[in-house]
Amino acid sequence: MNWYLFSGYAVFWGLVFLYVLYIHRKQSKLNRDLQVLADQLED
Amino acid sequence: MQQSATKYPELATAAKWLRAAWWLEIPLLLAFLVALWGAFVYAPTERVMGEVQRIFYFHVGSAAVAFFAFFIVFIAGILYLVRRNVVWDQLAATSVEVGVVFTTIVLTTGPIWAKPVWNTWFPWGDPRVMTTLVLWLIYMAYLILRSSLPEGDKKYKFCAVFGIIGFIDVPIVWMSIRWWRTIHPVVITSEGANLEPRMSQALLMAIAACMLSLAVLTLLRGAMRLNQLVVDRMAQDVIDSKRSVA
Amino acid sequence: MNALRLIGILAAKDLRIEYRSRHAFLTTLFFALLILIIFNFAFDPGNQSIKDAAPGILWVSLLFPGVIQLNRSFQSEREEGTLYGLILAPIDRGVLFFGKFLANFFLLALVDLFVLGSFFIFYNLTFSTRLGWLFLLMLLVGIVFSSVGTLFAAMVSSVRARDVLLPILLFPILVPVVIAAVNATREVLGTGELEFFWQWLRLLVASDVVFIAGSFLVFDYVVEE
Repeated sequence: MNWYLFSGYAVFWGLVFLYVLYIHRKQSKLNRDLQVLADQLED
Repeated sequence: MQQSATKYPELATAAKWLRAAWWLEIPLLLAFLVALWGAFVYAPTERVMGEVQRIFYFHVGSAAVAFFAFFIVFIAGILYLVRRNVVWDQLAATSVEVGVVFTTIVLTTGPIWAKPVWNTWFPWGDPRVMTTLVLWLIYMAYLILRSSLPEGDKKYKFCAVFGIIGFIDVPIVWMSIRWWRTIHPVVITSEGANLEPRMSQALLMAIAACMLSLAVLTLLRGAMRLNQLVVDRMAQDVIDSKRSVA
Repeated sequence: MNALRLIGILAAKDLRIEYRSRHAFLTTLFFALLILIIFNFAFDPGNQSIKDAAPGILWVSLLFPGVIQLNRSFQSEREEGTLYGLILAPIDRGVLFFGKFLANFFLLALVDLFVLGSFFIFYNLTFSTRLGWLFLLMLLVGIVFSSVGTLFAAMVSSVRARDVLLPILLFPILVPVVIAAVNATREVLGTGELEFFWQWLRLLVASDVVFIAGSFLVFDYVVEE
């Protein structure tokens, strides 16, 4: 087992995953804001 | 709805970007599978470095993506200053974000590969390593600048200016480190000098996969930024209209 | 009125303000002196290692006070609201840039002279024409420092965290200049031939041209309201 190779790829996928997670959280915030906006428009 | 489309033109752009990202998702998946196959199966094992050398493909792929992303920041910055269209600024901001992620990948996979091969985590003095490090510093500074300015045209202008100055610094960084290295000779030799054809083909696959992921991530995140911008502006408009009624 | 005179008037205005509130500038000089001395304690004075570290110490003791100096150039304009006056004045933005640049460059050159003098004494240097080359290096770095610095100082002047933000923006950009300056200084302080010195000098001149042109071109966008 080549640990260096393994950790290299783990870092690559880990960081990409973290960035996608970050984008996902931004999307949830956007959805929340959208909900607030829709509520405001209703009344 | 017709009215909002003309009032908030960014909505149409965001929708276009989302559609483009949707079309690229399947090619992205395929490209990554091909690239992984290329890196682990197709490419032969390097004779001297051994299996570790297989980090190389995605390491260099990420580096290519990062440099290209920062080039987009430069171009989008100029376009923003000339056209004053907020879409260019959001594109620049998104490219910086994705570029920093990939630069971080380069700077972390680099030491992992360098330790077993060169017996050092961080080869100070190698022009590629140092230029990448300086790029990371410059664009982290961009993100810090961005987060400390209030929303508005001024913020977009300042960020565009910093993106332009940062990018014209890159060739000077490269030259200075090249000369520095000729004075303090470094034992490390160039790793990409003569690649075997199958290795360079695998490298091309990895670069293509990383470029596609740059495109998809930038389009998704950029569309998200544009939508957030419109939502914030709409909320402000709602508040304003209520105030004028009252 | 021609542009050169206007630049002179603007720079003179800044320098007059600095002269009238001279305690601020003197504090900057004192800070530079302090850094030089602190490094001497940190590196065990009299040791050979301090000789090797000397070029780096010299440039660090110029960069940090320099940033503080730069930050002041737009601070009072912002606080007193005089920046609007300058923007509304019927002058080209380029004139405004070069006026600010010249004032900052002059003040920085004064800091350079002071640091060079202290360095001369602390590091037991001898008089030679090489000191002239060292001062030339300082001026060339000063051009990059004050051109990009003026641009960035104008950008961060409205931000509350400007004292931290300016070095964060400026130092990564200055990396190549610092590399060139430190290596050229090492040759000047050594006793050998000035072998690579001219190469570093060329790099510094090239970056002077690039950064003055770049900052001048984008300065318009930074000060418009």
